[in-house]
Amino acid sequence: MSVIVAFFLYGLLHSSDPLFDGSVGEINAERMLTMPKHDMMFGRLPQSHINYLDSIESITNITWIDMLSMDINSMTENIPIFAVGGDYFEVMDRFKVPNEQEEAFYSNRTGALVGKTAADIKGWKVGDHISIPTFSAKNDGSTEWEFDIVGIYTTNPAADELAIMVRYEYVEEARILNKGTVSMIGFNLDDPSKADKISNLIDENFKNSAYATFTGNEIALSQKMLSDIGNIKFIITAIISAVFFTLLLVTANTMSQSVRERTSDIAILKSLGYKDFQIFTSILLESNFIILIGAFLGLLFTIMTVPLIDVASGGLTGGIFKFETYQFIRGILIGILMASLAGIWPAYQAYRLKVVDALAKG
Amino acid sequence: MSEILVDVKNLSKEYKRGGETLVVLKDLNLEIPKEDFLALMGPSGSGKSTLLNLIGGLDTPSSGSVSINGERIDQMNSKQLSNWRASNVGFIFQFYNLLPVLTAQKNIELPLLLTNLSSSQRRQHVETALNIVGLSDRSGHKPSELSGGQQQRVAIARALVSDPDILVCDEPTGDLDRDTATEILNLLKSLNQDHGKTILMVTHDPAAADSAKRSLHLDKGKLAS
Repeated sequence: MSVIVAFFLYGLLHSSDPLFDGSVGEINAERMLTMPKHDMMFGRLPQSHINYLDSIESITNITWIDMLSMDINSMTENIPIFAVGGDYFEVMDRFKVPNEQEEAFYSNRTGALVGKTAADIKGWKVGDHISIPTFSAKNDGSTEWEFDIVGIYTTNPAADELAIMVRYEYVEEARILNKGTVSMIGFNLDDPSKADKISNLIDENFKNSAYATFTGNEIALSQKMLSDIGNIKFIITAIISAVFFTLLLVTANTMSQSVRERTSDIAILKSLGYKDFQIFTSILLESNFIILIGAFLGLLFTIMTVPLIDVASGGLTGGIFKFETYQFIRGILIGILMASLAGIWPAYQAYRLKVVDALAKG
Repeated sequence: MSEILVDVKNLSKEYKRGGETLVVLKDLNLEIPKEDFLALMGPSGSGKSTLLNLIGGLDTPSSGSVSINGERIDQMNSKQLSNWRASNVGFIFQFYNLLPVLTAQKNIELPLLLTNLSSSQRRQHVETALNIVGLSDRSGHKPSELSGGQQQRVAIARALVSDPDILVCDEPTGDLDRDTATEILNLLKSLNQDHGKTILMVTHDPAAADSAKRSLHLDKGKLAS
């Protein structure tokens, strides 16, 4: 049972790997982002940074993004609002919206594009007038922001559909705080191979500024944001290692005890003509059988459980949690290694067992 | 005179215990003809079981030779001894030593798994052995479902199934009541007389020794008579 649980845990924790290596949905390394270096979550960048980036020859499209302050503890209740400006749909081309809706968005100051997931949850449709409470105050003192839904966008991962996109110009004009700033700047390059060079150029330029930047592709940025929270992948690996190490000790002890209890049986088998090596192999096989059955069942439960995470999240995880074939094979190989390590000493003890001594002990 | 099956010459066995050397058998000579039924008696620590183990190929002597059917088993390595034991000797122990998780049939089949016999041939051999010991109707029972006497019969069937030249018995009736012991001894006598098995039996029990064709006494590692 403990073997099944250990391998289930292994499978479940590794199914979240895409979260930490940035390989989620259509997030890719060709979209570049510039963010506040020291506080990616809540830091600000002045609009002048946009002008600087726009002046760089290799940058073809540029967009800037901001987020209205709101209670994000209940994101399905209070859908996050992103104010986007510039060539947003060119840079962030994983966000799909029909052309006529995109045009409507740019021709309507209070226009909003709602993520499909958000629209499904809230029952919103094109043409609806919505009012969203936030922590961002407007010039009139109200924190209630009103928008007209002009379109529905889709993207992968589906978690990114739990948002509303509104016009940056409208937000910038109407808000009291954070005027003249953005949360991040996104851009495309004419040649992706220039990514490192341009990133260095931007970050070097603002190195000694109060608004230092961190520039990188979408994957690098998502990894940096997670590493700011903590080295989660390391923590997960440490947890799994601890689980497996404990399991190894328990299994090795169980195998040793099992062999000790069967000393007389092993002696009998030897007296019947079974060779030392046959006994050694049979105990190693037994250890492998026990662990591999457990490993197989644990991994099987993982395979059955991972799709349920997506279902339970109402599709928000958008298939982020994946348990791939290579992870299954790696799990089985870990099982074989553990079984061999756990079984080798008891097997060696059985190999060395002298029939006469064992029978004398009864 | 019958052909010699077991030929033991100048056999000595010593054990090192700490700094001391314990001499268990010293310059022992013994010949056992084919189809003999020899009881080996003697006080505890006299070397009976050690001699039995040496003749059965479970242990190797410190010096001297042990030839069985002309083969020097004292010169064999561990692997050769395992192969030799599988086809030449059957062991019967005081506490039966059956594998508790296996049925009588599977216990008896164990030595045959080392042979090239097919499954049906193995089954046939097992049935024959069960018939000889009179337990055909108990083949599907596990040791815990059998009486002591029945378990010993299964052990005898297991010793017989590979048709060895010699049966080596270490106190085969030591754990049985008188009536059951008599049944087992009668079975051993029958195996000796009707099936031509050579039997070497260690026992403390003079009544058991009476079932044998002859008895020898060991004392302090030497044959007394």
